[in-house]
Amino acid sequence: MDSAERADLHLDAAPQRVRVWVGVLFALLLVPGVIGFDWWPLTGWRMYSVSNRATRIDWCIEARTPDGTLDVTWPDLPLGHRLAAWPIGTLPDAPASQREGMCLALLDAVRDAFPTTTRIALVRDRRAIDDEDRVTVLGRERIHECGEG
Amino acid sequence: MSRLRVTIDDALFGQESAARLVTTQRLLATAIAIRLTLTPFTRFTDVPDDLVFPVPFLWWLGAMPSREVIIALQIVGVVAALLAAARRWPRAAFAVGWLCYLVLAALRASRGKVLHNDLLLLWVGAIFLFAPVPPHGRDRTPSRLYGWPVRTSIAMMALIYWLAAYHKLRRSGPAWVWGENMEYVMRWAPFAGEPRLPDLAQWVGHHRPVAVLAAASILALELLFPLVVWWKRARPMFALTAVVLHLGTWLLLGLDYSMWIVTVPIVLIDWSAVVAGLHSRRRERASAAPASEPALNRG
Repeated sequence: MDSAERADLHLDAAPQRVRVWVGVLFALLLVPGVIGFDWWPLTGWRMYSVSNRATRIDWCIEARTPDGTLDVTWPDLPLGHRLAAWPIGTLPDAPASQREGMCLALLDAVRDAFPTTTRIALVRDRRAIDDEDRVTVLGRERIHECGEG
Repeated sequence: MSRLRVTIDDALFGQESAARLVTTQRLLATAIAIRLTLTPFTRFTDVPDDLVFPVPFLWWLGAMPSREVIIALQIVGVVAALLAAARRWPRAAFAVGWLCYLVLAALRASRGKVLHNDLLLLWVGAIFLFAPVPPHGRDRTPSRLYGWPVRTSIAMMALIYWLAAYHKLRRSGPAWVWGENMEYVMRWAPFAGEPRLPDLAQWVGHHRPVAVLAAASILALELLFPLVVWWKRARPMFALTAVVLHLGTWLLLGLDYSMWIVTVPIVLIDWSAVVAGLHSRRRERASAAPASEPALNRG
């Protein structure tokens, strides 16, 4: 390669500041990506990485009405509330004020869907699915309750 | 320069045409505009303060912003993205559109769960924030000056898919494919999400060979995705397979990865070459037409 060709290649190359920018982006992608932590938009990309089994843990809402209790499904609630299962999963370690605040926030949304609701419980269900695709609750732990009565 | 360094340098900063750079950025901007238009971001304004868990860079946010703020972000973002797509102040317009998209996607993700739905487009878009603006956007001459945004985004996308496979193997091992994992993913789907085809999901869940094949295909796609960095001819096949994977995820599990469906083909396929090919074929057909008329008259 003669000096003229080298000069052409140099002019044609990506500038140094571009290489720095690309390096920074790849570092931001790789560090959480390899370690596996989330700091949105930095993420560990761990989607569906844990194997599913016949039993699973679900975080749900149990509503009490004058007619009895019912299990609220997430599609019953407004769109903005439908991911609340994940923060409910953090409640066992949360302070009482946070539990109560989240519970009351969800109570309002449940009452919009089921107006006769008097009280709700945020619950941790251990569920199993059988060969006929019937789901049974093997165990229910009430994490927090709020409302009247 | 060592051979490895040359290989990496070429993968990230190799030659692509100005036409490909411009077309890719226009399509990414269009995708951002469509996402900002169609996603009902205003429906997140009614999330109570106790259910708002801001993502780290919005730590100062105690509550969801008002409806007016969200609509303003949507309008500014859509207008900016459309201007970038139309190549009006492309760098500034793309940056504004991307930033509005980042904030709105962050608000959507500020509900206690890590959401990946918008991250591929956001990460690829980040590369294009400093993309050069070629004076001749239709120039098909390959150049290292214009190659790095496309090359880097292909490498980044490949790495993202590979990382997804890495964590499957790290957390579940080969059992992610050979175990009962995919059978139960499919059988739980109607109870855990809102699949469009719940009966098909359960059918897959009850047919072990199909479930294992699906799991193996997903893992193979993710593990082998880095091949697209060097193997150009494989890119359309990987793009198509990724589209099928994310479409299947939406139909069978109800998870919306539409922005991945859009982003992967935009980045992997040289649409400027596709359009140029179509134009030249049309020109060939047009120039062949008068010559064929005498032949028709001959009989």
